[in-house]
Amino acid sequence: MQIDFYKNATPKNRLYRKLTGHLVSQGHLIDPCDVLNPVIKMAYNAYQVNINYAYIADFGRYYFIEDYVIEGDTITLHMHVDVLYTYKNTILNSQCVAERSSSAFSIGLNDPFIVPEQGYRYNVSKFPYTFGGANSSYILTVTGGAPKT
Amino acid sequence: MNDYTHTFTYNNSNITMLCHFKTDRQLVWESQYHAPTTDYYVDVKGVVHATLYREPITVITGDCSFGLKAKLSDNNDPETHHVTGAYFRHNIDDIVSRQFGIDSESDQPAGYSIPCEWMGDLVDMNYFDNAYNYHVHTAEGEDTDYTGQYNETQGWAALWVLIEQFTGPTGINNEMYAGEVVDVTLELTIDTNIPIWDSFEHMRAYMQTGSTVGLLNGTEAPSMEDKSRYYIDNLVSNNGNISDIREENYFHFDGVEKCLGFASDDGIIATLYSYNGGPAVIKRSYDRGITYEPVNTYPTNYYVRADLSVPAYVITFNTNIPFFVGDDTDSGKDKLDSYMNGTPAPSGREYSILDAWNRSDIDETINGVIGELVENTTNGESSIVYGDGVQMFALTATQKGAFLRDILSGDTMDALVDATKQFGGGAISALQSLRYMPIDASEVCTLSTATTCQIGSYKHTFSSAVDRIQRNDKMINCGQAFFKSPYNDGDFRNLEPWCKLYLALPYAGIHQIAISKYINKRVQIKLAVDITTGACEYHIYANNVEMDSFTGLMGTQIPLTAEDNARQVSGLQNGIIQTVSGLAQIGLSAGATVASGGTLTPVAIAGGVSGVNTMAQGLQNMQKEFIDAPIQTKGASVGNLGDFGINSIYFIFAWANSITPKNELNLVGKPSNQGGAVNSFAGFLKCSAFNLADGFVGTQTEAEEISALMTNGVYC
Repeated sequence: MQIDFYKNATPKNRLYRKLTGHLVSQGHLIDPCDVLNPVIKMAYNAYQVNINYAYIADFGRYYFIEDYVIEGDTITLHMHVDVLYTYKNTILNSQCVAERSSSAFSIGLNDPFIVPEQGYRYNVSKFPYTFGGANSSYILTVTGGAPKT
Repeated sequence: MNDYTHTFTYNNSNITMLCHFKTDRQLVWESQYHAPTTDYYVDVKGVVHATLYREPITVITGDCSFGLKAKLSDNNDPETHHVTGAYFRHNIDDIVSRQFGIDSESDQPAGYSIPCEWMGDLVDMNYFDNAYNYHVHTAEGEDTDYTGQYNETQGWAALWVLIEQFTGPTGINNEMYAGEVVDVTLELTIDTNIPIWDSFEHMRAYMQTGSTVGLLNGTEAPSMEDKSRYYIDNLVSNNGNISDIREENYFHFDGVEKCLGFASDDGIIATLYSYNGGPAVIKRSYDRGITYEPVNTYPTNYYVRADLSVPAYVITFNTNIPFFVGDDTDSGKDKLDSYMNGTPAPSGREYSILDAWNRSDIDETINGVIGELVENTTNGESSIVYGDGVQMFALTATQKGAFLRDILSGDTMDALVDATKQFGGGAISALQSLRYMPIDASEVCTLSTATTCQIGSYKHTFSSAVDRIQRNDKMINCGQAFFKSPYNDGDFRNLEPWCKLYLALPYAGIHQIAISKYINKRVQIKLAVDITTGACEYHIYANNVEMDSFTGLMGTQIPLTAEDNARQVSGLQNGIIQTVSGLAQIGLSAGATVASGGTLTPVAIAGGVSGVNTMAQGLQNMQKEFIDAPIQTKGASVGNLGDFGINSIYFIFAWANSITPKNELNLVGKPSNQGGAVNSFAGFLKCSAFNLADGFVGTQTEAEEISALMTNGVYC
């Protein structure tokens, strides 16, 4: 069984990985193995403490190396499947409704990350028309007939 | 205008700076990250008043001004060239120049030290004002004028050195009073686009959190979006196969209507065409639409979705520019031409915006129409003619005084009484009302000229020609203005409860109105006035459509005071007074309602009815009063409190200042609620619903983990 080791520089919650430091090891399983959380014991190589990612072709999955245990000349790697990268093509083609997005969003929706300060501020503006003063009249109302001739 | 007072001591002198910051200039907000695209601008106008405590006591007065622009050179580097803002330094009893700082890394005074030198090398400072004009007056009457210009050579060192030149050791003031005890008051009106803070701590807080606490010359927090006009968000994302590629293109176009359009025949590649002169301004963003910088050219072809030849790319394409896609009937370009030019396409069909592929992004249409759609509402007008029988006159204050003097004189009263006797009484009751209106009657009425009026059967000749009201058939146009949204168009913060809009109407109270009716629309207010009662009604329009109306009462009944020692005449006058009192009650009831900030309510209307009844009662009592009324002077002492209220229309815009994390877009995105394949999103994506595509070959445990990750948020 071949294991490809890498150094992964991207956090887990990415759909992409930046993998460097490719190292290939060969071996075979001697104990029962959880495919999703495999524990691999292998000969210790100092380089192995610098890797944190693996691909096991026989399992068809990428793995995060979550823990190392060095015991004499052996090293035990505790791994967990990286579902995002292993199934990225399926995920990219999957349908979703975005609750939040960096690329497709609407500024018209309430955003709980935008927080108001206490209280209101005020802008007061004015229309030009002014009542009273020169603009004023006295309205006299009378009733009566036409002047008598 | 924001005011701020800064006091400090210098050289045994007490200096008080009264700073008035203008707030209507757009501030350079993002300069700590990106070189600003506009010139730095500072314009200071100062008035100086100083008193020297020496013999003789000397008073210095004068004015001074200083203005400059700083334009970035082509050789700018956003990492090193920036002015985040300026701030007032406190508790520093040192030279005056250290009262101000412009650093963004640490609390540094203005002067020749870092970080100011860069301006000397890379900034072209253009002075447009540096004049001073002082007048020195001593107690002994000696007067000396100092006129000149400030030292320009120091201006490049720091924007705030100019302040130093008002008061500091290199300033003209110091030249006159160096070393002496002096009280100086310097009143400055400052117009600048550089954010000014009341302390270094507050400026730092802005840099770290975006807080605008302590900002002296601005009000609105920086906005992350800039999509007020045409825009294109064209984002080519990286993915697992091409992990090192990430290209993002955000364009913002400012232009006239129908200046840009997209045409595509395959829905994959779109070409941007310009019409009507093309875009006036094109800007490109390198930070996902946070800031934009001008560009000279722009690409005309865009990928709308992944080209089949490079399926690994994830593309997000979003625009509010009309986008036409061709089909078997017409090509995309023909459709676009038809829409832009208003001409039929080769097929004979004329295309409208409703045929655009992205019409919902441009002008979302929705059902909900009752009747015929209109673009403006219409108002009627009064057709009442005031002619013979009922006559109304618009008098000036002088004409009113002359009329009252004439009509209440003994001779006229005798004539009225005689006329009453001759014609069976009632002539004086024909004097219906005299009402003050705070408007020019010609604005609401059609007028003619008259020299006489007919009071019952008594013909009165005015001492001078007066305006006679023919029709009450006009409305006053009180003004109009465009209500621009405080945030970008469509931002949820534009509406309640983040923003509220109140309308303060003279004689009609203060009302909250729905912002959604008026935002980004031309708001107009017209006023209709019932000249016979003094009732008024404001009509509020948004883009020529009446959205609100509010009623009030602006007429004030003038009490007609009798002055006579004849019993009979007094009785006649009391009849008049009761008549007037009845009318005044209308005003009193409605006036109290208006004064409390309400509108004309049914209670007020009921008061009006009651007033009419009182008026009728007064008329009925007139004959009794004619016989029994005591000799007395009475008046209906009622005033309209509305006259003491505001005398112009005010809009009161209340808004809550908001804080937006600067890294929100990249870190956690923004609310979306848009649906599609995951590969149509880029950057941060948090799903409210997620359904794995067919072909998933993992375990159920893995499927559940994927769903959990997608709903917690991932970066695509």
